[in-house]
Amino acid sequence: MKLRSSLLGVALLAGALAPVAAPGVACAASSAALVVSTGNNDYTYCVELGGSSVNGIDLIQRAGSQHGLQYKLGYGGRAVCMLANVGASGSDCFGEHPYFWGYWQGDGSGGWKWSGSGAANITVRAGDVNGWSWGTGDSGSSHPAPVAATYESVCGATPSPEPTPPPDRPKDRGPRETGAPEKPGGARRGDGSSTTGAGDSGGGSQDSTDSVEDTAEDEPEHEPKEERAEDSKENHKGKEPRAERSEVAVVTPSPSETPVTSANPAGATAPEPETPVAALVALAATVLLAAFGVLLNRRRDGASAPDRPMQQQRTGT
Amino acid sequence: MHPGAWLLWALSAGFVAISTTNPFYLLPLLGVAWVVHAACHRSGPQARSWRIFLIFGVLTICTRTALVVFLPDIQLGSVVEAALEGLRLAVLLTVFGTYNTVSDPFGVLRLAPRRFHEPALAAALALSIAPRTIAAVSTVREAQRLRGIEIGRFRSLPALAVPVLETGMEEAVVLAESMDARGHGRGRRTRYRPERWSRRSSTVALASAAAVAVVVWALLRADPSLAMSAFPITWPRVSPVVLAAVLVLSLPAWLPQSASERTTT
Repeated sequence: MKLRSSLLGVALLAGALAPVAAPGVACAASSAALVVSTGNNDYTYCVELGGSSVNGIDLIQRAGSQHGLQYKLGYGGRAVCMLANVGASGSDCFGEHPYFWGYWQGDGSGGWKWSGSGAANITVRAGDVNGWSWGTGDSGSSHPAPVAATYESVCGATPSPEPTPPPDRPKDRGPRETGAPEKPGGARRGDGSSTTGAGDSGGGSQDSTDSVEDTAEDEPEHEPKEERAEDSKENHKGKEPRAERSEVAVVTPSPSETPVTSANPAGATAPEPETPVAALVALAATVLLAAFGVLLNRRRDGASAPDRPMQQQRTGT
Repeated sequence: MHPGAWLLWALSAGFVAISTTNPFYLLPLLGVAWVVHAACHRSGPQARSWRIFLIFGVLTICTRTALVVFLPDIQLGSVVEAALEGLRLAVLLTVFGTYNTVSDPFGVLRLAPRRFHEPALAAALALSIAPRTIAAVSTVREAQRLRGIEIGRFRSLPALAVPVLETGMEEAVVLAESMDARGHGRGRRTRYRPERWSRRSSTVALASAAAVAVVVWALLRADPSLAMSAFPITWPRVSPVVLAAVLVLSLPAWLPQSASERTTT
């Protein structure tokens, strides 16, 4: 009896928690936009924030682990030395001064505001836009601003905690929202080039997938019995659209996941991981030197022992 | 070996140590400092001082790391960075310790131009204070042991401190008298048993200069292998050229030294 009542309690508890857990999941999927403008290339990343508190530096680290953004920090991880292989990669974090990475915050409508405090002291919330631009000038008026971007243009959907519908570009929004539910995690093309060409082609492909989806979902419902009555060949044919659909469904979001606006992808110039042969040589040399030192020390001690009486004699006489 | 060559070696090794935080350069440099000390140290009580410098180096690493650990907002990267900076200082200390056990700072004093005699004297005194103190401590302890005085760890400290300070004062007075007697600071200097610039000295000097040149070249090129990135923590790259430059600094240990060089203190 006791067991049963405790089980019942657990079940009730689980039932009570279930609606609470659902928004928790939605919260975990919250994201913020990160824009990196090197001067030649613009990269945009839609970064998952996760549960914990995230500052501007954490956002870069997350973009590094989620999207492979190359970065290097300095001064105890509070200053940005290098992003996307642009900047100082040596020991001096500001080795390319007066060029440095300026930190900006998006104003929500594509514009940028020069950040008054360091990125490590800025808390990033879901739906925020952070920008980094490479250039000279130590104020918002003299430093080049990053490429214009909003959260929607980078992450696609509105942030989950504030479900305000985007007022601009309803044409772009339309098919996407009716289409397959899109992961908000993937980074998408930035504003610069996607206004006409990429946007239209994206919409077009989305439409085609929708139509394929429709046929694929309709066909098995209508025809399975007829096909089973016919050849197995026909059966294969009937499966083809389904296979195609799954392929298309995988392929269509993939171009939107590449965080690139220009032809040069961020990972293209990334240094390939080096085999640590030289490091092993260095360690082996250290061990050898230490061993030789011990050996020499011991031999000298042994050799100097018979010398001592002679020296004493010499000084004595 | 000529004290000037030793000075050049120490300055080069120190320069290499402070220009990198890559452990795969620093650890071989530590090995270099050890092997050069083991091969070339002068006989006498100051030979023990190398170990003291190493202990101080380890303490440096611990202190530098502990400072970060007790700060709020701790990240693994900052701990790694702090430990590497501590390692850099520790290697610098051991290089300094090697220089002290291997060469006589007052030998350099003799080389200084007459005009810079007084600053050089101050520098030599400052450089040699640690090894001289360590040597004095070991002498005093030996004397105490011979007289049957119990050597406790902490209680004997006052009994140790007074004679050590006294020895230091005495040494300074003796040094001043001897330098006065030899005509220092009067424009008249004798050259008793002048140091020879041997072929070994020039080889070591050339190797040291080459090592510095390679590191300067790497610095100018902003070689990423010189600094180990702690944010994010990545496997440090190792440039074979820079590693070779570090290892070349161990040359004094492999060159044969004459018997007279060994016994002179």
